[in-house]
Parts: sequence; structure tokens; C-alpha cells
Amino acid sequence: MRIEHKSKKRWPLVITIATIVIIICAGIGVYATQKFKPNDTKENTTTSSSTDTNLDPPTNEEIQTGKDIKEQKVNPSTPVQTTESLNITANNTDSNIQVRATIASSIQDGTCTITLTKGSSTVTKPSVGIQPLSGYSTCKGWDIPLSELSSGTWNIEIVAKYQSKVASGKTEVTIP
Amino acid sequence: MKTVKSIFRLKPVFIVLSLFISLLSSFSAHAAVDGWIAGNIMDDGIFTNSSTMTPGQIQVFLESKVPSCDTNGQQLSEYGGPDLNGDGKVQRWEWGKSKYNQTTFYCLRDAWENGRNASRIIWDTAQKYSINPQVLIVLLQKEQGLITDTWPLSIQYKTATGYGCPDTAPCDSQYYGLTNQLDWAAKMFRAIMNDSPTWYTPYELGDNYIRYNPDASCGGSNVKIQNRATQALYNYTPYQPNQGALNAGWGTANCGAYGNRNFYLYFNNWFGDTRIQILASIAERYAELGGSSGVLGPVTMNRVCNLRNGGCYQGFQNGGIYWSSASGTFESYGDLRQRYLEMNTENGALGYPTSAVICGLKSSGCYQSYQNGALYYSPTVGHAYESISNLRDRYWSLGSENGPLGYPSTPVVCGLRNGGCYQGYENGAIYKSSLGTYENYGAIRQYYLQNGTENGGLGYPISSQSCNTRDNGCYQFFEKGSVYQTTNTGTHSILSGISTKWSQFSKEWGVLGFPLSDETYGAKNNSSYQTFQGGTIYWTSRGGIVIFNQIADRWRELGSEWGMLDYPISDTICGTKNNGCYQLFNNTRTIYWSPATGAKTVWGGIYNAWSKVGKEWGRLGYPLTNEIYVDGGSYQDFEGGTIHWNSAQGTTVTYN
Repeated sequence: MRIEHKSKKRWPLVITIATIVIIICAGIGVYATQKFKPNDTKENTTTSSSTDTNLDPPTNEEIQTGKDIKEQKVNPSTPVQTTESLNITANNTDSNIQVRATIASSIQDGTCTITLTKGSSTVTKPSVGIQPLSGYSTCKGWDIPLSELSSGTWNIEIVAKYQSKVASGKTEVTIP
Repeated sequence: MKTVKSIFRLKPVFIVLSLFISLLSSFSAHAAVDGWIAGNIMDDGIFTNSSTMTPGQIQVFLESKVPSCDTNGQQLSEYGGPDLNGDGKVQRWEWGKSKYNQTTFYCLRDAWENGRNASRIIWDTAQKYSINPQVLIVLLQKEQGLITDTWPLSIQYKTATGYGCPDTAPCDSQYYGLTNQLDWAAKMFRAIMNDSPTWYTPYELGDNYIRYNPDASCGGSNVKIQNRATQALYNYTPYQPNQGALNAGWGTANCGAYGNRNFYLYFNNWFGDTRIQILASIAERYAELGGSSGVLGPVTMNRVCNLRNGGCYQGFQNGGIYWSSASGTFESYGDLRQRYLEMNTENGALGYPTSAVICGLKSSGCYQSYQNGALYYSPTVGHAYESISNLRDRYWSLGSENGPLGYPSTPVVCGLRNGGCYQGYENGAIYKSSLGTYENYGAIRQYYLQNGTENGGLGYPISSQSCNTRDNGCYQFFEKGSVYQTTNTGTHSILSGISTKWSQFSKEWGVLGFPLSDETYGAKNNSSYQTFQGGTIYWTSRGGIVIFNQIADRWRELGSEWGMLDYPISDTICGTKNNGCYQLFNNTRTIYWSPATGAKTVWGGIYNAWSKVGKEWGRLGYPLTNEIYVDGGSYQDFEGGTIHWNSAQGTTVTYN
């Protein structure tokens, strides 16, 4: 009787071990499939006269990303603004301060002016035009020689005027 | 309590299960973006390679990404909307109708604008601005998701590349339309590639501060833009992905911007690396050819491997380099490359190149050998053509371009009569048939052309042309006859029965010599004849008959076969007394000829009398005259006397 009792108690353990083994084997199978799958099965149809084009149906990620892009168009999370902001970048290259300004709007015609100030020092440059690019417009920009600016922190202000509107922005750049 | 204990005893199982689930979830999460280089999103060579796809290949690609288009919006709406027809479900057409008054949704693969389909518009734009059409395809996807969208809206086509469409401002309607959008995008790309002074570019080559997001508070970093393509992409989409966006793979992250990242991911997934990878052996050969300043120019596309027999290929501005284990590493460019492309490159009849391009041949020609043949180019021909298979062997044996044929001037053309093939050369041709592969050139070629080549009376050549016969003559054998040519006799064919008869008389080496005419039809009784230097061969219902000129002259005086002699019943027989000859005609009529006496007819009673006294071998010898008619009879003079004839006495022989 004791022997039978012991035997009955071991059955759950055997099942448990078998389950673990099956799960591990399945896991290894999944891992191997992911790890060692060919990088690009499309190469099987490659020829030198046509490039390496993937003609498989799109993956779920490709489809989902496309849907996200569309949804942003249909239901934009960023509300369309009626007033545009002006974004300024100023890069210190070896010889110039490269100042650029972009406006999140499609602008066909307009002008941008720049003023650099440091204490009582002021540097101005001739105004430049505005050109529309893909998803924004840009002032032509200015490459200001370092020789025209003394060491220290300069405040940069750019004002864009177009279509009866005015947009402005500020930033600063440090000259070593 | 017992249950609790059991559960506790099973704790290791839960731990393993947890680990397993964790492992699986790691696979299902987005993999981080691999290989992203902020300063080099794409190489210029790939960005500007406009020949990566044909319109047909673009169409096939578009169809592969939308296997099924929901043109009528029958699927359930992702965006909700009214149930216009009250059927208890909200379909896409109902949402489209209520929001955009649109119920039909044309996928890009089916889209047309101004008489051109989308694939053609993409390709045309790519060619116009020398931009890779794959770049434009990915642009359409990353801006509007148009490549994979199964029910695109009209508004997506209006702003297909997002040109003139700020993220935070209304779109500019002057840029609306698929063609217009692609044109403006490609125009901008080209302007930046050309460093056009009339296009303002906020991002330049070298160091630039590029933000992570339109929201300035998300920050950014300095990026050293390494090439024009990357400059163009940043000028188009002026944000870079932050580390979170890169780690998220296709997913999203705080302060992330995904335009350039998605461009990179889509391009990699659909068209391969955005940066050119060069195979080591190809790089070595490229360097030997002078690199980007050599004949091939800059690299324009990634290496493509797994070609036929495991070969690889790399594209350059002016050609390509092929590698395979069997053929080695060799280039393809210029006029020879043009023909190689026409012949389906390594998958065509030539196989892989097995030599460098070798120029400086005769007339400044070029040559390259391949696994199964060669390509030749000459400025005088103006196009490269192949030399392959048996035709190649024959061309090679004739000295190739230095031989009598010169350079190939046509492709190999097959499908001729009985499955034959042909190739034209500067000075002739080579024909391949079941009877062999043989050349045809010079005067015999001209004759062959004038007489219908393989479809004419001669059929295919069955021998090479030979010029080792007398009088500097040349000849060639054909399926149904032969052609002989000398400067003095011209070029003529000899066919069938007459040819056999001529052969019996030792051809051009015999008394008959070379032909002076082709076989002429229309002789008496539907017969034909052909004249030779030494005589004429007639082909009659009785077979071939040879008449030497010595005999023929007298025969013709009497009207030849139309006259009283009719056709001969024998060939001219020579070798009789004093090197004389004679020929028999019907009704005991003959013509005898000797060098001293010429050709004379002997017939009737006089012939019988002459026969009785031994003909030319007797005392009378050869006739000196033809039969001469006088009142009441006739006579004929011979070397040794005269034979008279009259109706009363018959013939009388009188010796000198």
C-alpha cells in the first residue's frame, strides 16, 4: 500500500518535468527560427540587372507604421496652428557662425532680418529671402565670419516678415 | 492546505514559464534600428541611381505591397463613423463619405493621373531628376503610407510626398497632386545634390544641430552630415530620431520623430542597404581600374549577391563588376556593357565575364571574353555584338576580327529555316545548321545574298570557303550545290545534275574549267544548260551532256538543239587521232574536230562511206569541209581525198 501511495504522489512531478521539457524545446525552436532565419530570403530571385527588391507582402510592422502615418493625417495629434513659430539654429564652424532659421509654414515670399547683440555691441546683416521647402520654409541663412564677433555670448534675434505676418525667434551662441 | 502545498511545490514550473513568456515577448517587441548613422543615412550613389527599377518592376513592387485593395471601402472602418445604410456595421466607405465625401479608394498600384499610372509617374520623375525611384517610393510611404495603404484617401494623394505640408500648419494647395508632389520632392533633392545656389538649405555638409522633435524642448544634437543625400533628407525632414526612437525600432518613444528613421527602415526592408557595401574582391578590381575616377566612376548601388551560380555584382555609374567562383572578378562597361545588358547579363547566353575589357584591337575595336563567348565592339560598326557557341568557334578559327569576316555587325539570329542560326559580320556572315557551321564572305557572299541565302537554291553552306584552286579561284559547297569564283569568270553556282556531270570532267581542273554562267533554263524540251570556260553542259531528259567549245561552235552554227542536229547523244569524245575530238548526234550525224582541220559535220551517206574507210584513222583522215551541196548531189573534202554523193550512184571515195 505504501508503495502505491508513493507512486501516486510522483505523477504530478513527472507531468511537471515533461511540461518543462516541452516548453523549453518549443522555446529553443522559436529562438532558433528567429535567430537563424535568412537575413533576406528575397535574394533567391536576385539578378544583377534588377536590384535586390523585396516583393514579399508587407510585414505587420510596415503596415502598422503606414497606418499610423495615415492616422496622423486623418486625426492629427499635433493640432494645426494658425500662427507659425520660427526655429533658429546657430552652428560655430571653424571660420563662421552658421545661422539658419526655419518656419513651419509654406511661404512663397518674404524676408528675414538678423540682429546679434552682446551688451552694447550690435551686429546686423542684410535681410535675406525666404524659400518654401518640403514641410517648412527657410530663411536663406547667414554665414557670419568669426572675425566679426568678439568672444562671449551673443544673442541672436531673427524676424521673418511674410504675407502680412511676422514671426520671430531668439537664440544665443557663445564665441570662445 | 494540501492545495496550497501543491501550488508551492510547482513554483519552479511558474519560474520557467515566466522566463519562457519573457523570452517570447522579447521577440515580439520591436527590434532596435540597426546600423543607423545620423550623418550618413544614405550614400549619394544609391540616392541618385535612377536605373534601379523599370516602370514594370515598380508596378510589380506596388502590387506586392497591396495584394488586395479595398477599393470600395467594404472593410470595417478603423476610424468609426456613421452607419449610413443602417446595416449594423460601419464600413470604410461610410466613414469616407461622411468625412471626405469619398466612397472609392484607389490604391497606389491602381492610381492614374493625367494618363499615366503611378509606377510610370514615379519612374518618369526619377529619370527627370536622376533620383533613385526607390527613394521616391519610400518617400511616398513615409509621408503618407501610400505604398501599403489598402484604401488611401484623396487627401493622401494631394500631399503624397508631404511637400508644402508642414506638420503644424495647413498644406499649400499649389503643390497638390501625385505628379506635382513627386516632382517637387525630386526637384528639391536634385537641387541639393547639385549644391544649387538658388535653393536655401538650412542643413549643410559638415556639423549641424538637428532637433529630435518639432518641440524644441525635446532637444537635439550636432550631426556631421557626410554627404549630399543625407543633407537632402534632413532638409526634407529636419529631425533626427533620438535614442528612444532608435531603440523602439518601428515603435514610438517620448520626444521621438520618425520620418528619417522610417525612411531608413523602409528602404532597408524593401531595397537593401542604404549604404554601399563592396565585396573585397570587387573592391580590389575597382581599385585596379582607378576607383571612382576610373572608367567605372563612383559606386551607385550595393553589392548584390546570390546571383546565378552564387555570383555577386556591384553597380557603378558607368558599369559594373561581376564576381563568381568560376569566372573571377571582371568589369563590364561602355559599349560592351550595353550589349551585355541587352543579353540579360550573367543570366543570358554569355554568362559571367572572364577577362578584362581589352581595347586597341583592329580599327580601335574592343573585346571581352565571357564564360560562353565574347563581345566585340568596333567604331566602324558602332555597336557591340556577341560571338557565341559554334558561331564563336568558327569565328575564332577564321582569326576573329583580323580574319576575313571583320567584326560582328548583328546579333546572333536564330529561327531560320530548319532551325538554323545566322550572324552578320562587317564582311560576311556565319551560318549554323544541322549541316555544320560555316562562314560566307567576299564575292561568294554577294552571290549568296543575291540568290536568297539559305532560303534560295543553294541552301545552307556545308563547307568553309576555299581559295586553293587554280587561277586564284575560290569556291564553297552548299546544301544543294556549289559556288565558284575567279576574277576572269565571275561568280557562279553549279547545281545538282550539272554539278555531277562537271565533276566527272574533273571540275575546274578539267577541260571545262570554271563556269561562265549560272544554269540557264529554257532550252529545248524543258532542258537547261550551263556554259564553262571549255564547253557547255546540257541537262536533258537523258541526263547530262558535255559539249566542248570546239564542237559547240559548229553545233551552234546549225541552230544547236533547235537545229537539224538536235541534242548530242554522247559527250564530246576526245583523244582520237591527232588529239582530235568528235561528238555523236541523232541519225548518224556527227561533228569531228582536230586542231588542224577544225570542227566539221559528217553525216548521212558520206558519214557511212567515211566509216567504211576507217574514219579519221583511215586514208581520208579528218574532214576539211562540211558537206557541200551541188546540182544533183554533194561532196565533202577530207585530208586524204573527197567523198562524193548523188542519188543515182550513192557515194564515191576519191583519194588525193
